[in-house]
Amino acid sequence: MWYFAWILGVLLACSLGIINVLRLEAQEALEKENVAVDPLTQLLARESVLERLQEKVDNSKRNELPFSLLYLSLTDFKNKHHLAEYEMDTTLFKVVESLKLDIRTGLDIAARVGEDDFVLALPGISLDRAEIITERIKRNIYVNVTTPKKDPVEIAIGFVEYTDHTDVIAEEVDMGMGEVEALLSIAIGKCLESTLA
Amino acid sequence: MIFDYETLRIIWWAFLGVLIIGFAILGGYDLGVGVLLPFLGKNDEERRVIINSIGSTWEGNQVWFVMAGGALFAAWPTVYAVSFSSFYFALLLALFAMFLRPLGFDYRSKLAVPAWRENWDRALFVGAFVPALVLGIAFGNLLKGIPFHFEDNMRIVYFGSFMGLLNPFALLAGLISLSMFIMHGAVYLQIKTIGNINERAKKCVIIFTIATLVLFGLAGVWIITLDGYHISSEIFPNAASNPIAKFVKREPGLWLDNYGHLPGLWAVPASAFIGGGLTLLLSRFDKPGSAFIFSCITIASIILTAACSMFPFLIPSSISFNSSLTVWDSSSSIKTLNVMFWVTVIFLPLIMIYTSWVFRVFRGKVTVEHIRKNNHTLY
Amino acid sequence: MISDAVVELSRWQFAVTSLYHFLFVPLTIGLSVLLAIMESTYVLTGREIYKDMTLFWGKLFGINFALGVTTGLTMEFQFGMNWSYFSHYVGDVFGAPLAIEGLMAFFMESTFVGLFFFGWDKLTKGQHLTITWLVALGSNLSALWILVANGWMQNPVGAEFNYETMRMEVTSFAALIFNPAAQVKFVHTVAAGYTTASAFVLGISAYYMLKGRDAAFSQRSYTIAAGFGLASVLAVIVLGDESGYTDGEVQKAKLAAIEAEWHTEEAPAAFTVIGLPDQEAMKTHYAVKIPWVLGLIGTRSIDTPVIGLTEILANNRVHIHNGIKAYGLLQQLREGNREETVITEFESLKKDLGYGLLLKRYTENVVDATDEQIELAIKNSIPQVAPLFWTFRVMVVSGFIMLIVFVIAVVASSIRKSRNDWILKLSLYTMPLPWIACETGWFVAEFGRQPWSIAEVLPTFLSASSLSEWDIILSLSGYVFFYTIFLVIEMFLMLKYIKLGPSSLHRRRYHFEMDQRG
Repeated sequence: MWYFAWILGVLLACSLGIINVLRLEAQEALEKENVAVDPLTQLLARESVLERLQEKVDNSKRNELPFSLLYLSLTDFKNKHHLAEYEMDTTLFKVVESLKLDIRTGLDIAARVGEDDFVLALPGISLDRAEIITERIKRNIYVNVTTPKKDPVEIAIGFVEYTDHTDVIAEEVDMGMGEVEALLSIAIGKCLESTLA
Repeated sequence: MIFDYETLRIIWWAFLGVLIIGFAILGGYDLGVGVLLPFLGKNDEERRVIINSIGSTWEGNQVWFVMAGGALFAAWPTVYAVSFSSFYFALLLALFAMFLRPLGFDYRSKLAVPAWRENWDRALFVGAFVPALVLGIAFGNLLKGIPFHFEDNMRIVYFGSFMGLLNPFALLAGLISLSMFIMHGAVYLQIKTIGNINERAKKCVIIFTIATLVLFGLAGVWIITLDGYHISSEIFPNAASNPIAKFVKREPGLWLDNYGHLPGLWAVPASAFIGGGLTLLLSRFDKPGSAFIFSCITIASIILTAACSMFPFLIPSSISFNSSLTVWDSSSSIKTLNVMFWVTVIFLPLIMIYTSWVFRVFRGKVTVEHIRKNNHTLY
Repeated sequence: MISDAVVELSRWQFAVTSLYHFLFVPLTIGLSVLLAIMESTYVLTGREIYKDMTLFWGKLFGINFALGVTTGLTMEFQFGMNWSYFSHYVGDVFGAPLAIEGLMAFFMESTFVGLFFFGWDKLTKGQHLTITWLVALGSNLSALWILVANGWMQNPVGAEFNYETMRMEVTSFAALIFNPAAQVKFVHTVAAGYTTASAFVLGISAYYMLKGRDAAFSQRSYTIAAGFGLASVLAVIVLGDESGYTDGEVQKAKLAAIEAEWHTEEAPAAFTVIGLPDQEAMKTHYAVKIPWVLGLIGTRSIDTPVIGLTEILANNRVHIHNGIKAYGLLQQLREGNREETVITEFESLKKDLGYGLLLKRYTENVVDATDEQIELAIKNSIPQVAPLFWTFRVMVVSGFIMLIVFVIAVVASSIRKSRNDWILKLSLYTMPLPWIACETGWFVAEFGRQPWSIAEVLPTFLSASSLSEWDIILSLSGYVFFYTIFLVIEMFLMLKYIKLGPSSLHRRRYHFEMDQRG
């Protein structure tokens, strides 16, 4: 009779394992729906990105790995070329398409944090690698994306590495700002610098 | 009971033969390939090709060996007890060598360090060479008889030594088994590989087929003068298994007795030679698939020749002839033989069906490109 | 007469090789099922991450499986090599389940494992999933048959002694297969395997989560392991209880020894939690007891007593006297005396023949054994209590700790908020426990069987092969030498792949795969 019980038992135990993980899947799917997503580009929206960035920063600290942040802006470009809103939307869409090819799905985080501004979080990437990636993204967008008026798109990017600026970040944290916000503000600063250059 | 004891005993003698021959045919080429590994594979990638040509199926093939041991235990427990305890050191040697195989296959390519891989290649060689040789030596000793006897409570006492097992005739038998496995492995490699390895394998087929037939012929001539055994008292094939109740005589040339009674049996050694010849020819003319069939026949014939010579003896005793183990007095009870018969009749065909399906799934050549493409998943 | 040293060495060798073998077997049994579960989820949901899980845990499975096969070869050989009298005496019964194990389980498992590793590109999803399930089935069936064999050693049903062939022969295969001891042992052992594998996956996944690596992968692995593990550890404990109950029916000496039940207490007997058993004095010093518990659990009643060792020894005295008579009659039969009276009397006494054989340790001439020798035989007809007492308690405590951990794990994997580090550390640090439980469990099972190799039929010291001490010293050294090297290599590889995690799959989406291009 125990042989019979075994057959039933194994089926039960396997079902329990599968059900448990399917429940997890459902939970995650639900959570994903609650995560704010930018309707145009399907990237994360500003509200959700800060929490995710903090997670990534914590991981980097724990594993003693570098962590880079890229701040990308088309505001300057938009102003220079006097693009209408619908034209801007198409351009943004195509820019994001190009961007998606340069990031590692599942590992990197891409978010739309402003009307024409994006953030890219790259775990495990150090400063010099971040520079290379920045150049690559700029080049790919220039080559592959054009506005409806057929102009090539120039994007401004500022990059910063977490471990490179811990002192500055510490200062800002002391003044009441969060780690991620501090990191972001440095990145924004770098981005502005690059447009002025 | 549909079968009587006598029939069951003969059936189980045949089943044992099927399992031993099954191992020789399937596990045999794995051993042959292992022995050829350092010689036919000149660099890391070529060696990986050779290893992966048998990598996905070698484990299933090894089970034939385990099964032969298991069937021996189940159907011929006294034979199992006598042979395994008497061949203690020989088996230990073979066992230690066989340890190296599962680890060698699985662990070898897991690190990209050359020293690691080279050492595991050596291990794989030893793991193939030693068992191939030792199994033959063990068989050779069976033909000579081993020095054991029974105490009256049936306790087995063995008076031989490991060095005693390494007598000339047994060593010849060892060389025959080594040679025939290498021949078989070479034909297999001819099927599964292309280019350089294929060419080298073809050469080996020629060398080792000839070697096998020459050595086999030598053994055949030797047997004429070798002491053979014969039951001289009346045989009761349906009696309970009691090995000490008979009389046995030993004289030179008695191993050819069965061939004398049944001249048709000469077809068996003959087919070894014919099979060998055809293996050579078909391999030479680039038909390795058909060559393989005939190398299987060659191996089966060689083993059957010895088995038919010895029938009904399983393990003759060279010091207490009457204690020899024969088909009629060392089997399990009729009930056990019967139940095991039906289990085998159901499962063995099933096993052969799914094994051939697996071989079909893995058909085709193994090439260096394939290794490169699947660098991290293959052996 | 066979020397004590040879028997001792043979026993040590068997213990070492089988405990070693059982380091790898439970993981094979359990992980094969977990792989099947993961792959089933892959086929059900179509999500690649479950395929990655199957591949990664499958890699670890492969590293472990190799040593399971290696150490398993030794076991097959060892019965014949070192226990040849045993092989002759009970081979008619014992050999059959081993052979069936080969036919039914080994072939299936070994043939399809190659397809499991290398057949992904050659088979459809459904075909490959079936293969994985068949590998799992093969390893579980393997456990079934070997435990039918071992169960028969503990409770030798369905067989009788035949004086013409001087061995035990099968009378009923049904009794052999449905032996309650075999049934209980089988389910208990495979459940232990499932628990081991679950703890393994749980702990390693916890490690990844503690490091903040490969979150999606490790969470899913953790969740599957937690669910399956909880069911398994519950099964282990329930079947453990059932084992105790079965022992109470068919292996009374073992149960009494495990519980240090020196005397038959008034029912329901008290349970000795801890204490220092003293075999010479036949009492337990500093015993801490809980009233009624042993009686209730061990006999499931309030009025059936648990037979104490003193009573068992008294019974054995009678058995041994019968055994001596049986032995004498057997000698006559072997000398050719086939009178009706001799045969009938022997048949009536032959079930105690084993007890008579106990005396062969002290004298060749059983029929003329002195009173002293008989007393010695009686005294040694039960196992040593202290080792059993302690190992049993270690096993049970490990089991209950694992139960608690798995309950916590299941609850934690249901609440997804922030992962509590202490739960993850707990999951990681309890990883060695199932191995401790498995090994102590086997010790209890086999040491508790002493002085018998086949309970009440064949004493252990008679079962050994007539080898010389040096033969065994050499083989034992060889085993220890090779096994130690192999274990070091295996652990090295295992740890390397665990550290790498799923990045070792080179699927380009895991932690250590820094940059795809450039």
